[in-house]
Amino acid sequence: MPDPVLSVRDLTVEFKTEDGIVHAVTGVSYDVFPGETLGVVGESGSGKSVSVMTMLGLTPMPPGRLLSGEALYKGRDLLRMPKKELRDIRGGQMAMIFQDPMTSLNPVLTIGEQIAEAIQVHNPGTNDEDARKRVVELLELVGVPSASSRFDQYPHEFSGGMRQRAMIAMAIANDPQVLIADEPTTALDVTIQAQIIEVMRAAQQETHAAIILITHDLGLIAELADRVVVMYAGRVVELGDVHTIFNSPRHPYTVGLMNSLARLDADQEWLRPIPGQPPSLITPPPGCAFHPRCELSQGRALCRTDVPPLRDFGEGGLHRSACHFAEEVAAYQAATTAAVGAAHAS
Amino acid sequence: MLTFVIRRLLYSVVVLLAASFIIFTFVSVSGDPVAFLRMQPTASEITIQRIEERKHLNDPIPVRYVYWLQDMVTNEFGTTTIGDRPILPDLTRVMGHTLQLVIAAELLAILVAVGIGVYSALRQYSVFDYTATTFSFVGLATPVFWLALMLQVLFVYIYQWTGVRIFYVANLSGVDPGTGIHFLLDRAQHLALPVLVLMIASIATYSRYMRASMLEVVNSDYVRTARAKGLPERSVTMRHAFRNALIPLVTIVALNFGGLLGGAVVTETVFGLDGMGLYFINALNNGDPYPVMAWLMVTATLVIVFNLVADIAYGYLDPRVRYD
Amino acid sequence: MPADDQLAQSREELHVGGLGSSSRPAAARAGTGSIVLPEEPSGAGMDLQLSYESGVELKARSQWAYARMRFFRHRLAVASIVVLILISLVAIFAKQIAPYGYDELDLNNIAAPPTLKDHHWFGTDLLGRDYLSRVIFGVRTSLWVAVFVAVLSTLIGTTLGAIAGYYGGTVDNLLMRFTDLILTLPGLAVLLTAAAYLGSSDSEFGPITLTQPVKVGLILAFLFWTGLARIVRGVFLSLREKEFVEAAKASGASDMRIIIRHILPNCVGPIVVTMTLIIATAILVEAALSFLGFGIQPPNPALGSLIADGQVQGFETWWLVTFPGLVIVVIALAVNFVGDGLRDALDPTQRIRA
Repeated sequence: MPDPVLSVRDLTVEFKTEDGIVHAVTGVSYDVFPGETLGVVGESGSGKSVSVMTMLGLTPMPPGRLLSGEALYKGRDLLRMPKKELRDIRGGQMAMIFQDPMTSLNPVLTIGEQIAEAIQVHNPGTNDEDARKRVVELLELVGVPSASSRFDQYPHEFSGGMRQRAMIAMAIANDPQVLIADEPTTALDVTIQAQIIEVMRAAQQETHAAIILITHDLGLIAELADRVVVMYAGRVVELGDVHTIFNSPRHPYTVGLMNSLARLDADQEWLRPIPGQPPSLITPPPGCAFHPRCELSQGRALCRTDVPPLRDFGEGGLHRSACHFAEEVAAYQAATTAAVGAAHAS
Repeated sequence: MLTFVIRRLLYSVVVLLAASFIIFTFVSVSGDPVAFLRMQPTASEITIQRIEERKHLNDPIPVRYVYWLQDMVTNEFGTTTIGDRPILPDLTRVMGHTLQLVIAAELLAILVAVGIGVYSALRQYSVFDYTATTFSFVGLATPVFWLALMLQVLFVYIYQWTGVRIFYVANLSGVDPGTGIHFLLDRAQHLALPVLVLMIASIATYSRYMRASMLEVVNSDYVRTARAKGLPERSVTMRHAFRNALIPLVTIVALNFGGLLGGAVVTETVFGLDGMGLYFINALNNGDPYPVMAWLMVTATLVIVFNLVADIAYGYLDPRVRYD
Repeated sequence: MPADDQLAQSREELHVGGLGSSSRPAAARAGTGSIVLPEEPSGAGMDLQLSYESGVELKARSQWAYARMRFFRHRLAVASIVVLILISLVAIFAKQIAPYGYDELDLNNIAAPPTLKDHHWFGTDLLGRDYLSRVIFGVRTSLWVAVFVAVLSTLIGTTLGAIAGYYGGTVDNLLMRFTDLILTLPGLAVLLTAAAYLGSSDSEFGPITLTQPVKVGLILAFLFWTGLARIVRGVFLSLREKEFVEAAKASGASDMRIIIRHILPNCVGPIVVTMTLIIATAILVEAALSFLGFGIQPPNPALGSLIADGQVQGFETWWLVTFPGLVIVVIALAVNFVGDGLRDALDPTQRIRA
């Protein structure tokens, strides 16, 4: 295995709020390898965005606080770098696209100006003409028609899908090594989503960047991801390659997620959501954060008292799960999927 | 853009006509222009009759309205009841003075308020922020005329104690202001306190809105994107945040204009400045409705023009609203 | 093994159970996956319980209780209410509290600066009138007029705004054009004109005598209702299309009932906040009018005319101008703080902290 391009170890971030301290991210660790697409899955509030934003220095540090952890990019710790260096990397070698392209683009500047800005900040000395040429190139790459006239248009003159394309263009403008996409399709129509997925594939082909794809949409993960990180209540609960996660998960939460999917190839009478609500991050349940909603736990004391560590499963650390009874999950999964009446395609 | 302006101008003319009718009816119904004269034992019956004829006072109101309108448009805004003085020259003279006062106050207020608002937002909850907010609250609770008086008293005492006149407390110019730079300095010294008084209420309002707007913008998604692009913080603040935060202020400034004129009325009265405010008060006190009505029409026009300018400025700042 | 039994049981459960069972919290389902709550009470016991029981309504209190809670977190607003209550009491019991009458002359103390002697805390003027007493009576008039204006303009504004917002169409258009017209002229100028021509003395309309302060109040209310009407109209416009209105209509509720019982309660927050703003503005505007000689005129006491009197008597007697104004500032400040606190209490979605 090649060396990871990004390595997160034991990242812990908390927020001070009026209602108490929110433990947004606790002990999160994962690797990102060059050129791969790593999916980060979880419900809202699972900490998937916060972990990534903190790495890039985008989390406001009051009220946020970094308690521990390191994020190694090419051997250097992003969390302890001088701000100026981090700024160089941010938007250059590591770039990010956000969920809602309408609010994520400055309404008073033209699209072209905003993308050119990204180029000129990281390549000082680029004159306006060259920047413009590059911007038009990028817009064409992401599939924006009439790119050169679109350069002078404002975000409100673009459709939703096109705005997201423009955002992707902005992110890949400087040939990033790591591209982070935070819920890139959530705010878009379903038909547009498919297009954006294609754009992201094209972008990855062009730049050979690794993509960190943050989403709660399992369909998107299935389409794009090579490996998957499953997060719950600010912790990583399972980690493995996409086939393993989908077909033979080793954590009850993941099983629950998979079972809650609507499937075309199965005869489902009822959809089966995971019962209950996500836990409070201010006063999380003791022990395993998932245990109140866990059907596998059945009230066992260990689940209530000890936080389960991420344990390896099989081949050399590529599949890890944080469950005390991870060995039982296979049987549990078989039982529940039988109940739903589906046969998992492999 | 041009069609928009033309449409607005036409609409404004309609509004002005409607306003003129309401103003005229109200003022004419509530007061008899020659009532003052009638009470004077020295005024002769013939004089009164002549005035009545000139002003068509014995005709029904709609007829009088038409005569008045005609007079306004053709004859220098009409004439005063007593003495038959044309109103326009007086009005333009005082308008010039008031515009000096108001424009200076507004420009300075905007500059200062934007600075305060932006800095408060960037240093939220700091000592500066709390001080600025307190100042805003107090400024909004202070009656303009009282503040004017307080400043007058203060500077009169300063003069009495030190013998130095820093700022003047009355009138537009000294007895012999000279020309050129001397004139300007003299005028500035006289206008300094009135401008200060007018500024304070405006600053109180504008800085609060600027702060709120800046805070909203600074927490917006597109500022997050700008940071994510790796822009230096200064660029993020000025190019992305500030430009957007400025937009709502245009509306506030436009809405505040009426209040500013009201403040000018009071300030000019206290400081004895020969401006529109004092002119208006005197006209009201004299009971002569014609200057009053002319004044109201001019003011209404000013407000409309100012609002139009504000709308155009808004369109310039915010491309989403451009009137194509 | 107990685990197998549990699984088998769950299998059966799930076959049998319908949609309801899967959506209810695990604790409610018999048997499988039931939550065993911790026996030992720990410090965070209560909190834990709440976070386990997903789906339980944490809000056990009413909306008003929350609003009250939020309001009292604002120390300034609370302090201001206390100040206002004190001032109101002084105003109501003016005759008993004021050491002298409004026009009473104390010839021993002419043009006296503020002193504790003889209760002349605010000094006296050139005629020997005690300014503390004059201010007290002036405050009474100002407060009275301000509240009158606020109540009246709220009534008018809410009614017209509700009608315009609910029925829309031409009624709405008319209202908007009309308020636009009123707003075209600077407020103070309009008020001055109206006051000059209408308000200088008491008027009699048959059996009703409108005293001068009442007339001034009416004039002010005539200008101030527009702001409130716009706000109420806005709320009505946005809520008119909501489903609960349709539901009410479908169940046969009359328009009146819908307006009053369903939509209007949503306006209470903005209305209350705007009312406090109107009170503050009314105090300031009435003072300006009285100062210029067009508002409340002698013999009626008014803070504005007190200041005017003070101005006439020259710069030597600075206290005559200072104290009435200071009182105005204090009252206006207090009202503004209360309004701010109310806004935070009643509309927590507005995250703008003063």
